[in-house]
Amino acid sequence: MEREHELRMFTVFAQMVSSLRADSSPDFGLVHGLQMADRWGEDSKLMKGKASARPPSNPSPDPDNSPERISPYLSKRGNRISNFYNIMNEGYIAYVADKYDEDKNPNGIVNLGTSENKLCFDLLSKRLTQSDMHQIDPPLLQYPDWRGHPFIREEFARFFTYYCKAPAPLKPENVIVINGGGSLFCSLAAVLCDPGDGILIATPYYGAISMHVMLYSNVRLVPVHLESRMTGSDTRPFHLTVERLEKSLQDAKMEDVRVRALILMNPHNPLADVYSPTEMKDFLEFAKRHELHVIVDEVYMLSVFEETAQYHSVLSFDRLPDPQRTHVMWALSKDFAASGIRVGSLYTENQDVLSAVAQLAFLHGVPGPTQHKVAQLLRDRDWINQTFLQTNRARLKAAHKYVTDELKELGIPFLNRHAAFFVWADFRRYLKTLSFEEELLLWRRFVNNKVLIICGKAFECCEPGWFRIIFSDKTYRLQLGMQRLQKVLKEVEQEMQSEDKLLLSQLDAECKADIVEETVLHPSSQEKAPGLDGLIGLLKRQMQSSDWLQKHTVEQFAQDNPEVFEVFSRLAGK
Amino acid sequence: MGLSENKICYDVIAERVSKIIMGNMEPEALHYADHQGIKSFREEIANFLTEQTASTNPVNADHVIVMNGCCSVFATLATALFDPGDGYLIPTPSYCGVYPQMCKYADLRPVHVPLQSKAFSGEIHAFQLTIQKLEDALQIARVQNIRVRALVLLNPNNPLGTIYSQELLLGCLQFAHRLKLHVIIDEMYMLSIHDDTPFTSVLSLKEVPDPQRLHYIWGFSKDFAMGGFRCGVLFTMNKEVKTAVTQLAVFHQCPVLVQHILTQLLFDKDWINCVYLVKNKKRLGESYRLMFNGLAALGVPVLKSSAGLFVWADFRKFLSSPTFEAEEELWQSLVKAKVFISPGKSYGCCEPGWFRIVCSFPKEVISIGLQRLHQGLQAHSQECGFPALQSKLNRRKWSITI
Repeated sequence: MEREHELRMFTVFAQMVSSLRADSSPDFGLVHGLQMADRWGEDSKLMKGKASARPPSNPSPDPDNSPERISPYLSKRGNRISNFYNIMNEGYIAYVADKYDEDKNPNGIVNLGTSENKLCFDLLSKRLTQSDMHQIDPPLLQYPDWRGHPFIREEFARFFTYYCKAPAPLKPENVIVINGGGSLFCSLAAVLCDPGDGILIATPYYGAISMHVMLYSNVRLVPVHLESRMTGSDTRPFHLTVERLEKSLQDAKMEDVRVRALILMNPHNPLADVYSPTEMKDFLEFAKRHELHVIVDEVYMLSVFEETAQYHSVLSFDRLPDPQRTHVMWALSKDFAASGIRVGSLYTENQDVLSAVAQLAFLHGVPGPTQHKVAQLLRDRDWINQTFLQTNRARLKAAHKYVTDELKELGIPFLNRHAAFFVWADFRRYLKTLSFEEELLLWRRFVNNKVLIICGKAFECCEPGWFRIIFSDKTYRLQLGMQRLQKVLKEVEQEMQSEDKLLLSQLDAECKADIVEETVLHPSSQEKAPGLDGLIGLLKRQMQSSDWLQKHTVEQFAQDNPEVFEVFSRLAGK
Repeated sequence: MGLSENKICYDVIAERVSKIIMGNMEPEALHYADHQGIKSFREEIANFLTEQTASTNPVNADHVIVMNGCCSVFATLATALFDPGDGYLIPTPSYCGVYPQMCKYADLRPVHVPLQSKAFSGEIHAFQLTIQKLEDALQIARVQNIRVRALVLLNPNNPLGTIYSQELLLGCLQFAHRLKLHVIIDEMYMLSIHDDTPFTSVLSLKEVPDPQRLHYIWGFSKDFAMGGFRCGVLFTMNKEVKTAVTQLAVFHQCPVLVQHILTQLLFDKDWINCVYLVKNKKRLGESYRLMFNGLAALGVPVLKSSAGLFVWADFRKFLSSPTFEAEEELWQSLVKAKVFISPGKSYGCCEPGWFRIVCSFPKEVISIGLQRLHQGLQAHSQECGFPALQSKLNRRKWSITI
């Protein structure tokens, strides 16, 4: 925020000075101002990255700007929890209140936002209702070992050994089974971190993780912002590298945030990237260097539907750089299309971590009959390999093709990946200005037109305009959803054409995004450059609205920004 | 005989649950669901609670949240109502599990309201809770700079098995209202009453002084002998508390499949009222009397109680000294004799020598348990050198009618 203000102040100064110098071309200051603005724009992005390391009390403040509710019945912590806003929740609540049903509610909301696999219910329901599933033995009705009944932990160990292609059999004593991935993040944050600590995570990321680590434990996520623009040795947009991890870690340290862990999702949500073994090993080595725990979420590991996209679990590596700090998560929610069954597991060799999570596991218990069903399912290798996986992957592939063909028709760029249930698509050209406000407006228009997809802000993406679209659904719902998306996009296109709005530059949009009320003179503005009096008046208002000048002396500025200062001095004729 | 589970009605429950049709599985069973519980299940629970508690006003399904166990309900309430380091008043002895539930995530401090075996003037029975004791405990908390935010009550009580009278309940609510304390009341054993003592649910009180600060907990673990199913319920009329708790409920969801099964179970009111509750009461009563008499034969007095799956037994005369160390020694002797009962210290009891013994077992198991208790007490008395006691035990012929 401060750097934006500096930029505005400097722009005004530059224009004033150019006005004063009779022999300067009126544009000189503006052009130079633009160049300076470019540079400041980069700084402002860095500052944004820095500022993000210092989290607000609510990572995704309510964009309607309604004041936070303070209830006298709740504690401070209770109020913080109550006010935690998550746009994914808003979308989901809207959907639940008005669910699309082709017979009962054809005008309801089509949900292409929630990451669930709705393509294989027929296979699962057939298997889950077979007679071997309906066991009600006494131990299943009684309190279990909170780490999971021994039979299910053994089954998970065998399952991971086989499907993760572990080099040696994995041990049941390294497994804990609790009620879902959210609970795993929640309990790991509680045992690995103290309140106020940070966990590194690349953005965009599955937004609900913020809530999982924050609600009980007040742990913050420290974003490693990735951009679509490829630079240097990047081979793909939003490319996570060790350099970027190092930089974010250093930034966090400068902000006095103690980072304890790193979260990696592979396959990735929402990008659907699959990290290569080399990349994963580099990330693990980075973490080892800094003694960070690594939480590896492999929840989509069986949902890679293209043979060429080579997926490797970290459990397949011959050697982990730091086995005591590597904790692997998986759940049935995605790979077995069973998010409602609420079963997830943690695999780690670290017995301290296991014991600590086990202490909390009684609050995240899985019902006995469910444990039985899941163990039966995982044990049925034949059914998994011959019935389920092949069919599931074929259906995912077909659905992916359908949605991506539609996107190509619409001319919408997207990341073409072959895993998980979603496509990360670029809607930037449909934003009147490149801002999160415009992104949210577009998102709301989609919801009002009865189709739910998730906007990039929900994933803490640093660039406005990206959306995640789910394709793991029946064709008729995908068709309807895409039609409804298209309708909104066509309306937006027409509006943009008729208003003759120019898409402002990225930099302008960032300034505008933060400034609502103030008048901003920007080099790319179509307005005539104001006279000196106008500039002085503007400068006065800018100064009055900030204590910037008290904090930033000329000497400080010269020290911090020698090149800019040199240009400024020349402009001022010194 | 340490873990409070109802193992005498397994056959009745298993038979009923097995009949619930598993052939039809709805897609919703495998999808993400409403964090507070699916509407049809919450409606069934609301109807059930309205009927079974004889509530003054019908329970509204929108005020109900379903979670994977009452422990989760405690944990989420604790996190929402308290800040770290805050305290809650709890009469002791009390179910020791409340502590980890309130404290693991929420980081709270229990403020004990100690109850004694000796009935003081004005008290009808041992371990009776009074408002004066609540006041005294609160005063001590103030001196220790503990900010107390709530009063936690278990009714029927665990481990005592006693039931609060209507006057006492109302008195507690009025006390809390005066001090703007929340009241968290757990009625998990409300259907596990084995005699004809009338039970007054807090929901049946005509005038609740502060309904916005009353939070009600019930679950399937005890009354329906289904601890393994993991289902507990919060009922609160306070929207703000409900909002905060619902945010946390995402970590404690009861799977949809289980909600479907339990919806059908609750729907079958005939089975509940005419089959299950009748059999459960009868069998609990038989087990209680068996245990009561068996312990009396051993010279172990028991607090007279009406509810729960256990008895609260007085082993003070078997302690080598009136200390918690001696209590632990006795406990170890019993463990060596292969019988596990829970020492009073784990319930925050202020007097050494009391133990909770679970009796919700088939008769054969109770018989074996009593035999082992006998052996354990004999061995312990020998070790402690209680010749008089030892001979007393030897003189009694051990017999129990099965």
